[in-house]
Amino acid sequence: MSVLPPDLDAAGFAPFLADLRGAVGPDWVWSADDDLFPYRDSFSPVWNTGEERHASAAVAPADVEQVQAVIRIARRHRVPLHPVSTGKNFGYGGPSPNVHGSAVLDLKRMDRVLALDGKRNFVLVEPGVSYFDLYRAIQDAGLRLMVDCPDPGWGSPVGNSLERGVGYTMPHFRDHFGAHCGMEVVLPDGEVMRTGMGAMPGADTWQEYPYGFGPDPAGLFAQGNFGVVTKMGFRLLPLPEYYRSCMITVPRRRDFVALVEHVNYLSDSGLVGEVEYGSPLSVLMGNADFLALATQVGGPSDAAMDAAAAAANLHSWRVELQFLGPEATTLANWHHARDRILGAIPGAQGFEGDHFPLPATEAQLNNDTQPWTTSIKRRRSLGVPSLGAWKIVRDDGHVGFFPVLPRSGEAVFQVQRVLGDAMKEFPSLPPFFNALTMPLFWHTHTFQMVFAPSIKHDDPAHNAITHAAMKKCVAVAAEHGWGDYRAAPIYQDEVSATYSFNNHILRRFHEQLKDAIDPDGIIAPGRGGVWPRRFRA
Amino acid sequence: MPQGEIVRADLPGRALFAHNCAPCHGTGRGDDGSPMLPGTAALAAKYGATRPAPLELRDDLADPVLRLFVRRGVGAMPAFRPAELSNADIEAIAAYLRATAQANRAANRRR
Repeated sequence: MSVLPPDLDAAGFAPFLADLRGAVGPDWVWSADDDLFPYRDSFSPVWNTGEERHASAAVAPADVEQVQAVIRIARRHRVPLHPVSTGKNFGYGGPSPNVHGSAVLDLKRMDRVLALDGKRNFVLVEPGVSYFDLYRAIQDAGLRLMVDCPDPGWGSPVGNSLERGVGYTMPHFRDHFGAHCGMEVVLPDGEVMRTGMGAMPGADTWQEYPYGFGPDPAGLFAQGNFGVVTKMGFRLLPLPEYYRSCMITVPRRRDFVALVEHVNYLSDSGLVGEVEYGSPLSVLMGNADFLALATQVGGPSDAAMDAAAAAANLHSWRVELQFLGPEATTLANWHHARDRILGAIPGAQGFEGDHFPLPATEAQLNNDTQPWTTSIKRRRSLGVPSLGAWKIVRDDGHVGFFPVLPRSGEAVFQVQRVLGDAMKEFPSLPPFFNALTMPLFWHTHTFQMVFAPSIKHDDPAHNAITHAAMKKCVAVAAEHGWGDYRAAPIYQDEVSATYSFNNHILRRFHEQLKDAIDPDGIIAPGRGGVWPRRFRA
Repeated sequence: MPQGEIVRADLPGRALFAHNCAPCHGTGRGDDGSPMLPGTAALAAKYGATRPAPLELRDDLADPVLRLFVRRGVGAMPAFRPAELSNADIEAIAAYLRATAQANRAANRRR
């Protein structure tokens, strides 16, 4: 029992644990160091330092009634609970709490798919259901539905959407919180609330109309600490009949601005799924002269980059387009995209890639027949959960900074320059931001870019560099209006502080709400930068 | 080794392994042109020819050893919480791996 909850001594901690065991059974409460090891964030840059935040205990209820009981016990003993669902949340803090000594409320055992409708295309799940589980449930039921899943399939629809995670299919499904419809929440006093049509007894539209009547508090529970979500509905995409992939390249650096505008049009019109931007010039990054050009202070000139592209006989940019729908529609949408962009950007070229009916065969999922070196991750593009993406993990893990950016080519160039220059303070890190760094079009209506330096458990000096670089990224990006979308607990206060309009009124509003319903901070105090009165004092 | 060439022991740990471990440590192809899944590839790089890369061909992962890796993780492999995999689950997976590895070694001897 090396870690204790705040304001509690060992004598006070023991009856708290005893009460938990009485509520959920002795097998589902843990407080020994060995049992709590998996509740550490193994991707943490403050691993084994005084900044690392440890849990004092973990408790895994089996149902909503047990969640209510655990919350009431925690309230009685004034012990903060840190709810987690399933999956790992790596790069964003794992299961580690904001407050050292919190008890982790592990919802993994609540793993039922409660409703799955292949005619009205929705699902209602508990927090312990993973994307693998949901995919299997759909297959087992023989339904033609597509899951929009994040990279690691061990994540959960509830946890991922509450963290505002993303997927890779059609625009209206990639924003996972945006694709949710209806939730059940246990509030800090133990009462159970349902949002939207779930508030109306007898309504059969909980997963179809999200708002019900009056204010809709659902957004408070994403990256928030106003309750524990125990059920959540999601809209599902009917399995499209056909998949088609294509690519367009444009010759000059400045062509990227027009390319982005055309792709915005295609995406916002629902004509194209997730796209992958890239640069054919990336093959030159192994050349020392080109690397120096792409990473030079202040960024390279368009003319210098165009000269390098011309010398290598390469185009400057490319975008891989993915189409989902009936075969004829995907072909017509590709022809429309090709004609629109090639007609507007001199020298642009179009290429046709793999295309096939869905569901894909195993060979098609393996994605090794594309006629170019592709950035498309085929399984995630087709909603097939996988852990294949785990091959990207280097060292002992990484942390992630993903600023929200305007969806324009000019903004991309500016981020390349500004963050590229700022990160020169950390020369041992890879040049995440350079003249070829591409935007991610994961969230439906915005761009993001990735900064994900690694961590090493046995190299605190390396981790300290990563930690300092993360903080600098957050600060420099905010000076330009680029905000982080999701952060580990060790960064949440700093990220929250950058959303400071009108003397931090957004945070102060959240604090007023928190003080009203959870002044002792029983539910995840500090999450999302929202602290209750007890911890602010 | 293709997924189908493994002889799998019919034990309770089989489903647990398939659900919790095989997405990373299975014998199938990796994603997007990778010849192996990430966990299998990592063990192939770590051990070379000295040990089989697929866990289902390893008979040296007794319950305490397996529990150590599952509960503490290693490298990019995360630790798994007791709510995800109980000690009894890990024990069942260890028994399945041992039986499967032995069955495949016997089958290979007959070939």
